[in-house]
Amino acid sequence: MAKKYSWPDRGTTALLGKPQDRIDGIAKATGAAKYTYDVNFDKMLIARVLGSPHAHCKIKSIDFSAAEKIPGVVKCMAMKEPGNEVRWQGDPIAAVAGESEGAVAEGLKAIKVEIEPLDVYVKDADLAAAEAAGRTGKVAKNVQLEREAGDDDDEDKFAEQEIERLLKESAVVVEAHYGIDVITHMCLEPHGATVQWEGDKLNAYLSTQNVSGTAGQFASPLGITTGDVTVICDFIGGGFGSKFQVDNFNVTAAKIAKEVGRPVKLMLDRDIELKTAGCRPSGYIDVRIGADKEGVVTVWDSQHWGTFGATAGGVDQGVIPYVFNPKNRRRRATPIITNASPSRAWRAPNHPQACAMSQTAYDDIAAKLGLNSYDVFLRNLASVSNEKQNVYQAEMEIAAKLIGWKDKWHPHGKGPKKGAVVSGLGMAIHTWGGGGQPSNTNITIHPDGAVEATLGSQDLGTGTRTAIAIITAETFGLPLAGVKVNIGSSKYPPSAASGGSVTIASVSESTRRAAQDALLKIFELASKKLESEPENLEAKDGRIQVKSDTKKSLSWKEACSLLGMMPLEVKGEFKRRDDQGLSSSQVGGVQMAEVEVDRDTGVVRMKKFVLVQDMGLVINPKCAQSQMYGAAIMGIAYALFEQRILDPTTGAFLNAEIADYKLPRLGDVGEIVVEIYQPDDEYNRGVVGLGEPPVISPGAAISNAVCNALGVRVPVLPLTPKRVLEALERARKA
Amino acid sequence: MSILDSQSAAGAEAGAACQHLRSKGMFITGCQNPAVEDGQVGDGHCWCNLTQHVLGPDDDFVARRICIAGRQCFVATI
Repeated sequence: MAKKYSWPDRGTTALLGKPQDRIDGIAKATGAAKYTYDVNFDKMLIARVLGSPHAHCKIKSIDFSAAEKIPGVVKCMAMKEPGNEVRWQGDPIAAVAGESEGAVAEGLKAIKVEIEPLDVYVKDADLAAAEAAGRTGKVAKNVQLEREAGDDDDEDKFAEQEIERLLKESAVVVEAHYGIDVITHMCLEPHGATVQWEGDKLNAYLSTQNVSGTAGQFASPLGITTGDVTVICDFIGGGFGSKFQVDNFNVTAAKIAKEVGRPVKLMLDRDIELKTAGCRPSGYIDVRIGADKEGVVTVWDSQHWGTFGATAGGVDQGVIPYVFNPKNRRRRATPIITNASPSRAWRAPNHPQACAMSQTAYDDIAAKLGLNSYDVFLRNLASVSNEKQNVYQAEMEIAAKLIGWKDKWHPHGKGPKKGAVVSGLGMAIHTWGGGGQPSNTNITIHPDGAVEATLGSQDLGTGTRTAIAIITAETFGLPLAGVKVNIGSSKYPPSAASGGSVTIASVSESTRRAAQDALLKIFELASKKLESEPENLEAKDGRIQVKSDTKKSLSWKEACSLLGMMPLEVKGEFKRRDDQGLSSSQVGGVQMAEVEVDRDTGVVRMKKFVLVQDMGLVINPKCAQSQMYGAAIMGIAYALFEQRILDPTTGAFLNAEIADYKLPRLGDVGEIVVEIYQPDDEYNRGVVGLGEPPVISPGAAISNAVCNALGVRVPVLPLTPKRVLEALERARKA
Repeated sequence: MSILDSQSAAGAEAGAACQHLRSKGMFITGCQNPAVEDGQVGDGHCWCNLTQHVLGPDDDFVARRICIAGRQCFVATI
């Protein structure tokens, strides 16, 4: 075992920290990469699910008799029983497997379901209506005040009086409403699996971000052991937090496959995918916020609500207000239950909503005082919750230069006009954890010099596979092509699920540890040949050499031949809290947006979007930047376009198709500038994940830019043309 | 406790969770009963490992605070 696991000193690396192409880039670009949807077998059946057309009903009967007569339909299977309640539109009721897409489509149409309709409620933006409908849960409350209540004081009454006093003493008070609607995950590759039995053993080609954690989820409902299940996911077409679980339709596919003795591919249709396979909770807030004349917030008083859909929950009150922690704050949160699909974790659970619901209020303080938003954010950094004031300040300076804040910023609503078009700047800041989680990597070195890194991780498209190759190759002094990476199977050593931005820190920890330990064994073998001590050797440029006399060396292959006939296999293990400096957690991040808004049409156009992000040591800047570009586009999408539209009466999801669910095109995103913030202290603290952070701020930053342009707040995201025009109309009437 | 009220009490106060309860946070932290104070791990979305759905075998909702002893389908963690 290596004495201490560590990264190479900065500036000494051949691959690490330098931009590398993805090792699977060609496979992806040419279509050679096989996603779950691409996995096919001889005699395989196609299966689809029938989603409930009703948002709330009770199942009385399911009749397959007509469906089973459709030519090509092989098997129909119920997923609900008579008496079961359906709580949202799209919840699977039954599945049909057949010889062709057409037969299955006809079969689904022929299923007769008798139901008893039940009352439907979907108005999550209207707290009063939800309360009247009995759809709200208990209010969670959290109060923190500088002054403490006396022993005889009623705490609620004291808090009320104290907040009123603080607001009264504030130089400025903003009383406002903000919000952010439900959006779906919209994974390009829908949820699903191709399943194949070999006797009593199941091979499940599952679209998952949890390769090591899903075999057991198949096993329990199928009544087999986890060891009899192999989950495989070589490539995935998007998950964003929605693909941690094995869904009931995946299990149904396995049941059908077992019963008919043929492989089955069951992927969700787009409309069912959107209706049932993941969405982000909404959040709406009424807030009163008081600040001094410099814009430093002294008191925050808010009530927010929102929905997880059919299950209870909402944006956590602990992240309100977001990043900033004023000394006096009262937060109340109310969950609302609707007849809509249950939410699933969406990139940075709670954070995009919290940012959009509170950093907009901070910007409105600036607007009301006629101050520069940059200055107000800067002055409030003293209250940030993560002790990253210096990081935020440095990142703000960089972002401001990149977007030209000093030259372009103007007081809210007082910028230059080009006809009906006005422009504006806005900013927001964010935070996230992203530390490493348990992970294991096996490094195998073969006597011919071949190297394999094997672990049960997955590559969500972020470049995980490439990062593992970089770390391994860097450790052994090999070119990237000298390492083969094996990921994507539950039979490999367990590694962390890809959620919460933990993947890169997790796989970096276990891989670097395994590689350093394996290299030490190679050094021990080579030291005898080179007549030097193992600690005096180094691996560089494909050779094992004596540091002080590099002429004394062996090629990597020569060194590996000393293994004899059998390969060397070394396991690297990382457990939580077993920190040795390879990984870290907690990041900041600053984003600034420049927009143009047409006051006649209400259309918001992105001109420029700047992301400055710290993430500790960066393994591959090219993939990190790619991740930031993707986050910016996804953020622009939810800020301006994405919106789940439900019929208020029936609960029907009206735009559950790609054609109707609006996403930005390339021409909609404007110029995107990404900047990695990595001074030496960031490099030295080790690896931190990046999946979540850069997608948090876009909503607030873009909303603030629109407000700066118009001089009017458009309170609820997405900022559609209709909402922009309505906000302007309200302002005109006021 | 109904699903409507299930967010109002801390998980630990509710008692030991059913062995079939699953949430994203469990797979991130590696814990059966992840702390609820984090707020980052996405514990709000729970499902049952027997049904692979947000509804358990009894057709009622799955949540940390209601998948506890006393529920018909509850199975104690060994």
